[in-house]
Amino acid sequence: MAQLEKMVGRVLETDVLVIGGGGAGATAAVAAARAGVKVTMAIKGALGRSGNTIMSAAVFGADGESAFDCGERKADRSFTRELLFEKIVKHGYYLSEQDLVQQYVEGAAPRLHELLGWGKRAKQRFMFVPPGSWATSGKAVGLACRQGVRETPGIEVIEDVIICDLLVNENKVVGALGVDVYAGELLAFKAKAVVLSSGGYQPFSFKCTHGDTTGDGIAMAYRSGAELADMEFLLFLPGVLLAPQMHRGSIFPFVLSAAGLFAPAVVNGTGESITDRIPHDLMKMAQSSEWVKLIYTYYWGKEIAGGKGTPNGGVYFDFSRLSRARYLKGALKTALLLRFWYGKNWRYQGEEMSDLMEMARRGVPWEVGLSNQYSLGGVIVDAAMRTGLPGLFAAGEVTSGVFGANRLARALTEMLVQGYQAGKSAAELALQIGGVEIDVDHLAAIKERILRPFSGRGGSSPLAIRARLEATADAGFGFLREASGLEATLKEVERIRNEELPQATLRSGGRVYNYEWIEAIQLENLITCAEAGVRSALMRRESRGFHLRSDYHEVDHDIWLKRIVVRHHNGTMLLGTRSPVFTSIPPPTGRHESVMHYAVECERGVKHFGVSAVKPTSMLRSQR
Amino acid sequence: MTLTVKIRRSPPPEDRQDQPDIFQVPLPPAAKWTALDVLNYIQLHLDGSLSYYRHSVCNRGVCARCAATINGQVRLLCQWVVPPHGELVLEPLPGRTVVRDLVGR
Repeated sequence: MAQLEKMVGRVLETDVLVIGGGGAGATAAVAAARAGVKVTMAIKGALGRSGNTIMSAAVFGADGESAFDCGERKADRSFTRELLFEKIVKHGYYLSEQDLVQQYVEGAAPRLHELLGWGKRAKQRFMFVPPGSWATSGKAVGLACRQGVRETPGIEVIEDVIICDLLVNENKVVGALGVDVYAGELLAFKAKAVVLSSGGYQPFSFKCTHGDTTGDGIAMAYRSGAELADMEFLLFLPGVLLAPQMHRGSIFPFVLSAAGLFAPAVVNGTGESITDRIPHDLMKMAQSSEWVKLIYTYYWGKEIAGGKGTPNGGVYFDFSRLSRARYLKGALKTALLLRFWYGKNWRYQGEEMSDLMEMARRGVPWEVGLSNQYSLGGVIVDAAMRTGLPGLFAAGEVTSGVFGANRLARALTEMLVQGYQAGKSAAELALQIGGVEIDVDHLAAIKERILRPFSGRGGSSPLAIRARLEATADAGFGFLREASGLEATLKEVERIRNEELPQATLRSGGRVYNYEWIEAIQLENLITCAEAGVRSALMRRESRGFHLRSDYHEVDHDIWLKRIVVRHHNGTMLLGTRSPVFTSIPPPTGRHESVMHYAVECERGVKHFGVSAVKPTSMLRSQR
Repeated sequence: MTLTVKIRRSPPPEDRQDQPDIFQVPLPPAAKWTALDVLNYIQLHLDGSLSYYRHSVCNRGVCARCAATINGQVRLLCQWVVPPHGELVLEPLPGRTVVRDLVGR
C-alpha cells in the first residue's frame, strides 16, 4: 500500500466503482448503493451533465403495456411487450442477443417509472406520447438521473476525472487509474467490482454527440482482455446542421421534420429533389417511424457519396416552395413545442434558433448532413451485465447486443435497464469477496504509458492527430463504404497508431488542466475503437442495418447472420464471429437485395405504431 | 476578416506579467463562429498550451460548463457568436480560483 501511494496522488477505496455520469452510471450507482455497498462514481465531466444522455432529443419509453404499468392511462396496451421484442429483433436485422432484448422489454416499466419520479422531483417536464413513450429534453433526463443519485445515500461522486485504464490483477478487474483533470493528479481507485457506463464512440468529424464519447470504456475493456462486437455499426442521424458554424452539429432540423412540424423539400447540391427518388412505401415509413434514420441515410448518402452533395457534404432543406400559410402553421407549432421544453419560443437545447426560422421564412435553405449519433457496437455482456472479465460489468452505449445492426427503439431505456442490472450484479459480487489487491507493476506500466506524451519530442499535437483520425474515418468508414476506401482508412489508422501516437508531443508541460494531455489519453481510445470498427466493416462483406456497402448491396442471412467479435491478443487485434442467442424468434435464411428491401419486408403486415405528430393542443393541456 | 483575441494567461509568463496574449484569428466570411470555435482554432493552430474549459463539453448550450467572461459579460463560450472583426476579450469566470488561463474552479 505504501508503495502504491507513492506512485499516485491519491488512492481511493470503494466496493463498486462506476465509471461514467450519464443515465447508465446513475442507475448502476443507485442499484449498487441500495444493495448496501459503498459506491464511487468517477465521471469525466459533471454528474447528469456529461455523456450522450443529455444530447438526446429526447424521447424515451417502451411498449404500451410498460407505459400502462407506469400509471399512464393513455397508453395503448395493444402495443404489447411481445410486439416490442419482435420489433427490436427485426429492426436490428436479427443480430440482437434475444436474451438482452427480453431483459430490455421486461425491465423497462420499473425503471421508466422511477425515472419519471426523479424527473418530477427535479422539476422537469415529461409529455406522454402514445403508444408508450414520453417526450422531454435530454437535459431533463440528465437532471432526473442526477436527482436519483442525490436521493440515494451511500454514493460518492467524483467529477472531472478521466479514467485512463482498468487495473487488472491475476485476470480480475480490481479498480482503475484516472487523472483529475483540474489538478493533473493521478488517482488510483481500488474496487471489488467495476461498472463501465462511459458511453460509445464517435470517430467522425461530424457528430451530434457529447465530447465525452471517445470510446474510453470500450477501449479500456479491450486492452484488459474483454471482447467487443458490432463495432462496424454506427448510427447516423439525417438532418443535422452543417452550417452556419455556430449551429454545426445541431439536430434541430431533424427534430422539426421528424415531429411533422415542417416538411421541407430535400434537394441535393445541384438542386435536384432527393425525396422523389425514395419509393413511396419507404417514404411513408420514413415519415412515420424511426426508420427515418436508416432510410434517409441510405438515399441521401447515395447522393452525397456520388458527388452530388452540398459544399459541406450534405443536402439542403429547401423552403423555397413553402407557402406563407404553411410556414406560419409550422412555426406556431414549433414555438409552442420549444416554449414547453425550454421556456423560450426559439430555444432548442441551449441554442437560439430564431436565425434559422428567419432563413426558412425567407426561403433560404438549411444545409444539413448525416451525423454520427450513436454506436451500436461495444463490449459484449450477458444478461447479468457481466463482461468476460471477472470484476467488470458494463451498461448502456458502451455495450453491444440489444440493438444489433440498427436501432429504432430507445437507447435511454437500454441505459436505465442495463445500468440498474449492472449495479445490482456488481454489488452482489462486491458482497461476496473480502478484498482486492492492486498489482503495482501493472499500475506502473499504465502510468508510464499515460505520461508518455510529456516526453514526446518533435511529434504532432494530439489535437492535430485527432483531426487526422477523424478525416480518415470520414473518408472511408462513413455512411457508405467499399473495400478500397476501408483499406485506405485502415492503413491510415494503423499509421496514426504506430507512428503518430507514440510521437505525440504536448505544446506545454505541466499536468494542471492540460487539455492536450487529456486529448492524448482519449485519442488512444478512439484510435482503438476506430480500428476495430474499420476491420469489422472490411470483414463484413454484405450490407446490414447501418453497415452500408456499395460493393456488397445484399443482406445475406446465409453467411452473415453473425456478430463480428474483436479481441486483443499479445498486441494484435483478432477478429472472429459469434452467433447471437435466438431465444424465441428463429434466425431467418436467404438474402435480401438491399437493406431497404429488407426494411420494406420487415414492416409488411406489421401493425404500425409510429410516434404521433406532436399536437400543440395536448402540449398546452399538459403545461397547465 | 481578422478578429483580435486578448487573453490574460495564468500563471502569467515571466517576461510580461501584466500583458495579455494577443491572437489574430482569420475568420472565414459569414461563418458565424462562436467564441469556442475561436479558442479551438487558437489551440490547434496558434498555441496548443492555451487552456479553457474543453473536456466533457456538449457544444449545444446544454451542459453549461463552458462559461467564461466574454467582453466583460458572463456567457457560454459555445453559444456566443463572435463579431466578424473587432476585438474579443476573454477572462475566466469571476469569483472562481483560476486553475490555468481561462479555467477556473
